[in-house]
Amino acid sequence: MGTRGREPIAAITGLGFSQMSRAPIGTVRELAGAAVLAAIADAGLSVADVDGLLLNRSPTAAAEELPLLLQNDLGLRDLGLLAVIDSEGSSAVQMVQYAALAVRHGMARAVACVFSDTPVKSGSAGNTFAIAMPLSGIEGWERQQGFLGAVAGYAMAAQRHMTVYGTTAEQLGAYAVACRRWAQANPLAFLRKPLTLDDYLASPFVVEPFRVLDCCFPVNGAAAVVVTAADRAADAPCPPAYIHGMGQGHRGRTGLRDDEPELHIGAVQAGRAAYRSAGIAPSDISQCQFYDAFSFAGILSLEAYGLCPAGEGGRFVADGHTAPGGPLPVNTGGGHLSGYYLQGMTPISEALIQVRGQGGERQVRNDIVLVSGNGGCLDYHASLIVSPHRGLGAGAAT
Amino acid sequence: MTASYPGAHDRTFLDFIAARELRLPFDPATGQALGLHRRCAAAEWRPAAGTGTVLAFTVTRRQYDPGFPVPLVHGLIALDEGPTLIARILEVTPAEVSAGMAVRAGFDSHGLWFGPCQEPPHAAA
Repeated sequence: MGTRGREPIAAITGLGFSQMSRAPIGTVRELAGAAVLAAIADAGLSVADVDGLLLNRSPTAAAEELPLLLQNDLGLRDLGLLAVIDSEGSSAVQMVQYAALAVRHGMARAVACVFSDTPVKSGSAGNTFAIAMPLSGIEGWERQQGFLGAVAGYAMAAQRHMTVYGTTAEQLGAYAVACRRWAQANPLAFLRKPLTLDDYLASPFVVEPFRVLDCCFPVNGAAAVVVTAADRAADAPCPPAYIHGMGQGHRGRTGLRDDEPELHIGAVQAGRAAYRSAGIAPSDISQCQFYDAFSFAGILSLEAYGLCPAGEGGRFVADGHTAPGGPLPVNTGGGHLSGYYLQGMTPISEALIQVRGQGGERQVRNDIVLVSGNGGCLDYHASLIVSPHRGLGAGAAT
Repeated sequence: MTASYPGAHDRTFLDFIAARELRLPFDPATGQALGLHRRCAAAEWRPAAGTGTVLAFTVTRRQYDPGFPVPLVHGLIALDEGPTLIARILEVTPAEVSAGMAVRAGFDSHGLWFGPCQEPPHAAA
């Protein structure tokens, strides 16, 4: 452990969900409102105590679906902080970061941060995510080439990893199986039926090398958190999650051969910055809550955040390190594949449940939790280090 | 699906493709090809050889667009001049595609595509 006596940047004291469902249950705005109210109540606050609101709209939703007007829906007055944070899959973690900075510096006292989305239309979300990602650098190029779906971009990156490092279908499958095992102990998870590697290998391809079971499980719903100054956090009804580290990394693309945005990602920078600000090393991490909309994203995150050597993520997972009983639990709620796909709020919400010790059968060591957000096609990264401990000095992680 | 209106850089590339020509932006100062993500007003658009190497590939099995029947093979192609792009790979079955494969450019109603080189272009290398 590095520096002793470090004060946390801020604390997360409230967590709230709307209903979550594969059926239509309301608009993005309605669900967002429900989640914010639940989070405020969970933090032991009233609406009048909240003076900051940050919104995270899905990249697939229209801007007007989650407007700043949510403030008025909820009766929030005289806010000192109000913004839409729009950095794709890294937005939820970024909201918490900006909320933490705001409360740390006195711009606001209690900031609600919410993500809400309704991607599942008529029983399927396939068409919602059939967007063309701007991977080659020419606007409209991927559409002209019929290269559609976030799944295609991630599948290409995964195939590159397989080519360069020898990552296998069985290793991708091991990731999906580990997530399912965690999900089986999570009452909030949507996919809890036992899953074997053979089941995985028998599931149909969407975009090779990805099968259906390599992809996230979209749901309609919203989740929100409340961030307050660390000094006020002890008054909250639930144990606070102290924020000790924060980082971002957005590597950029050149479109030249020696640049490999499929393998070398900004999570490296986001991780180093978060570790540095928390005064810790990757080896101090007790558990990870990753943004893993595709199996490969979880595997690559292990490498980029320095938890296993580059290229070894597949083997690391297949060896059982991240599964229940393993030494480095990853996505203990089932993550995006088997839990629920609420984009960046999935890893944040599970981190809070674990930090509070409310994980039930899936509760694991929670001293230092790494939380990640990942947007674009591995382009935009943000991370948090959270802990139930106010100080991360010597002894905190023992 | 909303179509964004492309800027001059994008339009230049796509107009050449529509004219069945693969041209790439070069930095006149260094003579090096620029990656397609860079917007450089001074770029010179020079004809590319149209040959390259498959760095990675995907096979789309789920039908997203009736204009693109499945199975649909795409490659992450490194052009010999240095830039990379994602494009369809035709004239091969999914099982015949491999990373490292040498490809050359062709054109059809969708625009650019790549197919396997008849002979390895870098046999001497």
